[in-house]
Amino acid sequence: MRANVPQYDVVAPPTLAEALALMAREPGVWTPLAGGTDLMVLFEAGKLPPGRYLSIWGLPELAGIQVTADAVTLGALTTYGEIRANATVQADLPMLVRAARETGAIAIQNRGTIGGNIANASPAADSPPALVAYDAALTLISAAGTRTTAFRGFHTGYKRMDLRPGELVQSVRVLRRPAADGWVHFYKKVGTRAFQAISKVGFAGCAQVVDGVAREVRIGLASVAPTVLVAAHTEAALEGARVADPGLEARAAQAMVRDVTAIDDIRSTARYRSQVAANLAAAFVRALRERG
Amino acid sequence: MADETTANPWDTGDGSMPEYDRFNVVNKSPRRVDALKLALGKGTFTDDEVPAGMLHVKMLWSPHAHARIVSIDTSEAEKMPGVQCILHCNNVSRVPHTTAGQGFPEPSPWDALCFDDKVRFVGDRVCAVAAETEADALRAIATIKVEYEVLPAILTVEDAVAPGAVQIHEHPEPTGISKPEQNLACTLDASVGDVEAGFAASDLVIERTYRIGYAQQSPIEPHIAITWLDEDDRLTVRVATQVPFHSRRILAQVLEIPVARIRVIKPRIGGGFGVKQEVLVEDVPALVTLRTGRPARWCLTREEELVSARTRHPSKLTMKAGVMKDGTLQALSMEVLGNSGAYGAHALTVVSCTGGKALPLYKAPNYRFDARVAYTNLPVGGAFRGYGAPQGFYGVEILMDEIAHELGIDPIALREKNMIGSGDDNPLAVALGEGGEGFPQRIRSCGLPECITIGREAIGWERRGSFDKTGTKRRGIGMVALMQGSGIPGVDMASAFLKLNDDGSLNLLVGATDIGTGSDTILSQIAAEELGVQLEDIIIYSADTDLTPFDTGAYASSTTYISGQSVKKAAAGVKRQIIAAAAEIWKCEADELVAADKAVRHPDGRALSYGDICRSTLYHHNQHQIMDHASHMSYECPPPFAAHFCEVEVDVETGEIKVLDYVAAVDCGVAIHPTAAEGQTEGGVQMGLGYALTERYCFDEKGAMQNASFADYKIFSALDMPDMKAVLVPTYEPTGPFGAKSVSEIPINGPAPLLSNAIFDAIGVRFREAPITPEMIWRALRERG
Repeated sequence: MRANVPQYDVVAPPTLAEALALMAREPGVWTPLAGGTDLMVLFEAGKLPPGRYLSIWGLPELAGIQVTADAVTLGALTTYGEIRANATVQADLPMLVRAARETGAIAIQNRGTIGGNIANASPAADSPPALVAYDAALTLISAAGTRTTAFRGFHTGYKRMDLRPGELVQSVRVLRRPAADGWVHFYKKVGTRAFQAISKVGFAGCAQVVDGVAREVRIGLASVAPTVLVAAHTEAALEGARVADPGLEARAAQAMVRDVTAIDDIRSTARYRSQVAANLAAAFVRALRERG
Repeated sequence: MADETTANPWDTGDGSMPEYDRFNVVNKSPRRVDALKLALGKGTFTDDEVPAGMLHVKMLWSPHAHARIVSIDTSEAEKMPGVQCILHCNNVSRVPHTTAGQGFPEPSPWDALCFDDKVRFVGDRVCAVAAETEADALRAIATIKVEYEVLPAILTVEDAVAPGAVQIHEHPEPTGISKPEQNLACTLDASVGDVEAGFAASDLVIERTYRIGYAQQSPIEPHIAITWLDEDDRLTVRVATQVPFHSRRILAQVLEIPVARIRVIKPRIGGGFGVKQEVLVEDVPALVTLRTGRPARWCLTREEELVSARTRHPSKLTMKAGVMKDGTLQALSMEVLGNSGAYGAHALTVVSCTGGKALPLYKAPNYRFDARVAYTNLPVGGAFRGYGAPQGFYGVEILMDEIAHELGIDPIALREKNMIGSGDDNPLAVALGEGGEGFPQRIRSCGLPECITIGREAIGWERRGSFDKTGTKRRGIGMVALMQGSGIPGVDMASAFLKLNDDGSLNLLVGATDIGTGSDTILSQIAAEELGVQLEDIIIYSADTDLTPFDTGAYASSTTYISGQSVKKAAAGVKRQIIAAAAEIWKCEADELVAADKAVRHPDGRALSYGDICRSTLYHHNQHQIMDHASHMSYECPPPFAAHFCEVEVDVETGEIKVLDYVAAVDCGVAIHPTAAEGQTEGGVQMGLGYALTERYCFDEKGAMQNASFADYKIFSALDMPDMKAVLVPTYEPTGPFGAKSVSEIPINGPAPLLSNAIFDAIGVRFREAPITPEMIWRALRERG
């Protein structure tokens, strides 16, 4: 049953400053609405709470991809479609392209935004594992100014995050990781079907392999914990390891079992998720070895 | 009128192919007659026109799987803004009926009431509210207080038939329930020869149990009906239905008003796949309209469609076969325990097709079929593309693979050794017809050997067994052979009416129900071919119980074969009248004349166009309307045949299954519209892949469906489809219009057993339960170690 439209207020300020001022005046009242690909699903099902929504879709200050010699900055309103089409992201941050491609279908990719995906805080979303693996930095903005925080640890629990009332995600900054410098990217989504399916397990791993040694190992997972998961034990097990070490796969898999806190739900079971995450950790090691 | 089926000029008499180039309109793929209006958004679906002053119906559904309604308090709801009518068990007549839209009397038990004082599944009807808006109705529903006496819920078929199980249908009114005290909606058995003797004489006896689950038809357009009173106070019902005439009859029964007071209109339909063979949503808005005098609309949401509409009957099959070492089948038996859910719609006839469509594909001297379909407190089974055959082929086609593996015979060779062919009699047709004894059936056209040859080549069958079995991704190849029917023999009847217009165009009125299948196009092609006119000369209209003649409806793969033949007969009649009129004008013998290209020609070179002839008969000579009608019923039910092949890749680390390549070769006789026949094949495979891999009903411990949305219930989408090749293998069916057989249902029989066979080839694990999920693969591989 579709929701009753008159129960919703939607305001679309023309500038970011006005949007932030409105949120500052009435903190906690306004729910930001970007591409709407999460909220409109709830709306269509009659499950979106009636209330006030702040449409930020048209704000130019939050749009666009900026590329410098060492980093890529994605405005919060960057759509999955724009991510897929960007040559630098394709070359140096391919897991963001993979995640964008896995998200919904084409129509959703043309509306859904990276900022919305972060602020929606779903533990099953496709992009956050890649942002963990790329050690992204977030810039948050409010009427009081901006602050920068690491993406790793930004989400603190199921649908909870370090976002203060009156704050919007402004942008996401990721360092470029060219393959020529030894960077290895490993992304895998396991779902019910190929497209438009929420993952049973999502895995993103990145590391720099130099002289057969893995450095800067970062691993994020979806759907195996109440929030996007930083696989800290597995990262520690691999950091500084020689990728040729034959025992490394088993150690990574064991560490991964310690990292995940999966649950049973209609999409899968905890045991399956835990085992598949461990298998993917081992597969990540094999990918590193191919590079080394 | 001469029997057109025997006078068919294309019939070569020996089942061989006729001269194809003689066809002008059929066996070609013109643009569908409704394509342009649908593409432009002009095609009118049920919800596209809203009568003034229309009320909206919403339903309060049962939150309990099994409960008695002690009391319903609607006092607050009655005072809510906009509320105009409230319906429940205390103010609606108790008229037992079935929602299954079948021939009269329906072979399904009359176990349903509009509203009962008992609820039998989570999602059963409790109370309907009609209000000015849906929101008003929902707000009113939230205030209704219902007191329930909760009863133990039966959530498995095994529990349903266990001694001492609580009885789901204990009221006195229902009729036609096989054994209500044992929760059995129906039982059916049939046997040929002596299977026990056959097993005793066999070198190998193999017995296996297979289970296949719920699935929903998932048409894009959910169930919807809009009702109003016309200028004569007759009840008019515009409804998304596959069965307008059954809808009218069942509606008259439950409303207790004459058929004459009801008109059912079928507009464009957004798919049915069987679920709209159910008279499911017409009664409630009709009651509202009769009580308030106002138009009323009831449209199910997707969640309601998944939970409260109809589904495929889940089935447990125990298969047993006796074979000789060389693969010769000695005996084949199938025992079915079906789950009909809370009501018995289609229970008997679906399960009869489980045995009747699947077992006879392989010839054996001895057969046994033993079926029971039980009530449970779960969603209700119904008609769904394939109609029991997908469950039957799930058992038969996996079993054939298992036999081949045990005997060390190539699965194709085993099938070729035993499969039915041209000239054979269907060994089970008499013992097991639709719901009981049937009519003898001889196979007059069979392209199965060619289907297998083509499929085997296209998939690269010789690569089977040569794949690398050490990596994390393992490949395998499988195949299945399939058949279906064309209509229900001795039951399905269709009729058509044709009249000639001033310019030589013709109105074709049919009761046959185009639900998105393309039947309006196909029937127009048949009429045009027979009459010697262009497709554009046929103006087809379907279906309206006031305007068009009777047709049982769009089900049982009957429309091309049965309705098509009625159109062909009517067209032949009109053609004879056109020639007779020309003979009268020219004062010559009719048999000197030839009708073709929209004109009648005299041997001396003179010609009269159909338009000239029509204007003459309307306004000048022997004035009359050239028109004819015909009905058709068939005791024959020629099966289409198919062979499906696929290649899969299984990821042993994640359990993921990827279908890499799929080939479906089908013999549907002469395809009237080859592109549409290919489309049916591709669509049926897509639907079958969902059934095989992704579509699953998840229930909680109280019997409530947990994944009732397309976000969580995963049908196979276009993006999930593998490379797929649909190949039409032409044969000529002498009893069909222009050699045609059915094509719409057969493809869905393939994917579920095929995936089990291909996955076995890939990883050596045999799955006897569908859908096969990554979790099942993973668990099985872990258990194997």
